[in-house]
Amino acid sequence: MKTAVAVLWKCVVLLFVTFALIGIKSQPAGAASGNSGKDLLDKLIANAKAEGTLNANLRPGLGPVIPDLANAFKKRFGLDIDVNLDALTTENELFAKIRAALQAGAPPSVDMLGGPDTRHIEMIEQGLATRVDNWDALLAAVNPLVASGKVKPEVVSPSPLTGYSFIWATVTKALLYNPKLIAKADLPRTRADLADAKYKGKLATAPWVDAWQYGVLYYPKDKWLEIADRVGKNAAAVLYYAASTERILLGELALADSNEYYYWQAKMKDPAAPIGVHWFSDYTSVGTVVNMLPKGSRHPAAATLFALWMTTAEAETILQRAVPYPNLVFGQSPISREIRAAVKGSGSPTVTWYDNAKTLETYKWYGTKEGRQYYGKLVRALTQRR
Amino acid sequence: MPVYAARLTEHFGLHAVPLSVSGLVLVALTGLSLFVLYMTFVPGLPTEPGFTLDHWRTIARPYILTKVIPNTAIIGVGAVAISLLFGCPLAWILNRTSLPWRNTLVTLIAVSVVVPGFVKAMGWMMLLNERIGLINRAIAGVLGWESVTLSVNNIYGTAWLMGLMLTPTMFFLISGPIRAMDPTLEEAASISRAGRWQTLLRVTLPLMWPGILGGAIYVFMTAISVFEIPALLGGMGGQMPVLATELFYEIHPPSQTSIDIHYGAAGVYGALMAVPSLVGLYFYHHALGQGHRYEVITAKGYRPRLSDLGRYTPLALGFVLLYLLLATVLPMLVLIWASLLPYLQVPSLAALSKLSFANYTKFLPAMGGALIIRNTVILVVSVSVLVTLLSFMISWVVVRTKIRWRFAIDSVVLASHAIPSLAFAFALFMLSLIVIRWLPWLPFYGTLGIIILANILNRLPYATRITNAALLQVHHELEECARTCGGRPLTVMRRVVIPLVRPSLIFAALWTALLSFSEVSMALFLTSTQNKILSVGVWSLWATGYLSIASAAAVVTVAIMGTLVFITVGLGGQRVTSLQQTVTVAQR
Repeated sequence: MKTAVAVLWKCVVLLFVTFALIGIKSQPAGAASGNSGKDLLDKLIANAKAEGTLNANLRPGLGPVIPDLANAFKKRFGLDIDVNLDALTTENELFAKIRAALQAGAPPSVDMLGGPDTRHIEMIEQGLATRVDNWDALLAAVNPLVASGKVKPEVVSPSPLTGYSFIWATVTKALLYNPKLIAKADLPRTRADLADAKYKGKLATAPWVDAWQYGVLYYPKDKWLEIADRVGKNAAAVLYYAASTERILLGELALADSNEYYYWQAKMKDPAAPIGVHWFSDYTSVGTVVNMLPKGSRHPAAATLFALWMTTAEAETILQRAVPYPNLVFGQSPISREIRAAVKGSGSPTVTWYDNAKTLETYKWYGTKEGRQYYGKLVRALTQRR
Repeated sequence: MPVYAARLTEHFGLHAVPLSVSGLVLVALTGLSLFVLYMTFVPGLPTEPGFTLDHWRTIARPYILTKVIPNTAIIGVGAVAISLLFGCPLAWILNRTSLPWRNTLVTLIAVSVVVPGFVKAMGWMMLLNERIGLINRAIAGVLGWESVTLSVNNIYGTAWLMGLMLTPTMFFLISGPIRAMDPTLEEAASISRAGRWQTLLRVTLPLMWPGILGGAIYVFMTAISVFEIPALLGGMGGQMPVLATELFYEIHPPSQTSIDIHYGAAGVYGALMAVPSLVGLYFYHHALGQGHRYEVITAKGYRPRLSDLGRYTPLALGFVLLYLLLATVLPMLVLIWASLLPYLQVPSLAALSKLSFANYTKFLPAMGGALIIRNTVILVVSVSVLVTLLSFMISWVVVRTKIRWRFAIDSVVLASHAIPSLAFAFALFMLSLIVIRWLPWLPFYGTLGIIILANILNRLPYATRITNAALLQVHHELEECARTCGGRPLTVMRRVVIPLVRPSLIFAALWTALLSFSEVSMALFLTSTQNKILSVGVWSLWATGYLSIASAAAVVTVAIMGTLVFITVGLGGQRVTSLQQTVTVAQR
């Protein structure tokens, strides 16, 4: 009898362990335990309620949908807090000011900071960012795509941003043009072709040269500088992307080195707008737009919730009503799919800084003394500011 | 008590309040200016140790010396010339003649300030551009040419546009004194058989000289520190660089691999912009030193009178309307046109089919709702009241006291305008970081308070030009009479002097309100989630591709501010008239 009970007991334990193992193994890779994620999320929500406030910056242009974003966010988590979203401050100065504030020992003016991945990498390396504990479990609890296993957590927060910053959009560099002023057949095939004298006086470049930094991956450095200088001399003006898009639509300029979504933004306003988008055949740079908590964030729970929620399809749908920021990495909206298809269909090879070891090494090289000097020469060449 | 001590006590006692206020302002302005200068010698953040001359070495390169500085000088001188060309005749016509609808025309001049500079620049690009310019097409059509190579996208076009934009500044600077000037001198000239133009050139203009000189210096300093116009017309690249755009680049780093603000280099550019202004100050103070020659409001019968233009009325009206067309009407038409379209396009039948009011329902939510309106109202009201009060106090010390260092106060106040507003903004930002570490309870860092303070310090130079010129015209004997009758200093100030210079004070307050309303450079740098204001909202909407929604916001705000200006100008005119009548009756 005693032997039978012992055997039975062992069988029960064995069965229990077996089923437990089956249960763990059957969960998709990257998906966290529902219970632990939920517990963490519930605790985070409770903390956010206690904090009572969230101050966050969004990418400029999202102003028209701020009320919708704030309301949807609060509804999603049952929050009744004061949500202040700022889409009026441009990223350049915001990052610089926050960095200055943190280095001076003052708190950051926002709880959650959004912007291009390169800025975030610099903040992380300097110890000015906050890592989210149990970020993968929380991400799974917030984002259904991650919970279902369709998207892995490390895709949403890839190295070297892992646990600090979370992708919610991408920015792809493209050439915008006015089809009434220049035929598609006359467009430059490669970025280097912009140096051709036939484009003199027709082109607007931007004060930011980040797209041109990737050129050293495809061309010798000296040659690339020479090309950049000729492009700079060809440029009719150096303008913000929005301003150059306006000048394209006005019919004053034929070409503008820009972000792809300005084309879709113009078409959203007027499908008949005289604007086209063209992808270079040598390379198309893709940057990610991410959210993070700066060090010393005054309302970290609310900020964490919002940063994670911005990765969801729900947030993607709302923000794309204002600006068609696509998410080429894991976005599911019609706009994201359309832009992803357009880039792929163009045949242009895409490149990001963390594609492989070589691209990452090049990115880090730009942070060295030699790289900074080269970068300075690139800026001076393209903007003709000596 | 020794005689000299008693006199000293009496002298300082009389002016205690203005002296205290001026002292505080002097400390604030000097401290901030020195802080900006200090940052030019620090390698990184001002809170970090170190000393370097590298920032100063960066300016010693051919690009700065052969392109940036000459371009800046062209803009400054050109803007002064244009603003004088329009501003002086406008001030005389609209304040000393019987031209009809003067209040309405003055209101329209004031309203033009509220139209954002970048909108005017966009509007002028549509008007004067080799490819799409409407004026170019009209001229080419009339003359039968293929194209007309006139464009606003060059340094001279920028100077022209800047001069048009700053004409209202010049106009209001000299309007106060010219409006209150005693016509007795002009009547004396007329009796001596001097013609209208002779009187204007040999009597009126020389008496207005301090105001005109102060205006010219102020316009020059403003013109070389504005960045959005040259940036939009080509200054962001090497085609047309100026000091203001170079400074902007240092404050707003374009790099995606470095997020450093180059405070030191920005401070150096600020110092470069200050140099010519300091030279101009010398000449300004020389004119102030001859102040007694410009006193035209005395105790002996003061009745401002308007000159009848007669057959020159259509010419004068045409001149005023021409300026308004160029500076206000055309940009406003472009603004309204842009606000009714999904994106800015040249007028055409296709464009007409796309007109709608959709943008008018979008701008307020896009800018953050009612908070932005509340912040803007608080900013405009507090800045205009405080600036008017402070500038009156400062001018009292400069014009009314015999303190040896009174010109130093005035010099510091005026010289502070030579420091670009962006430099003040980042100095205040750095100060706020230091303050929040030690005084976290003080509402400064990231609040509306810091923008208010920035605007107060930035507007004082202008307002003190108005109040200096106004007080210069009030003779001492009026106050001496009042004190002889037992009036205390503050009572004399309140009941004798202020009523006489009220038109100037109203103009100073109004102008400060308009300028602080439309100021965007400092506010952009100091903005946070809690202190957003309308000018930043409009700029941000434009910068992110929402020119049409930004235009709708601008149209609504111009309409509201225009109405307020009209009411204020109208009230100011009535009070001057009633005061004149009271003085006339008392004399009888």
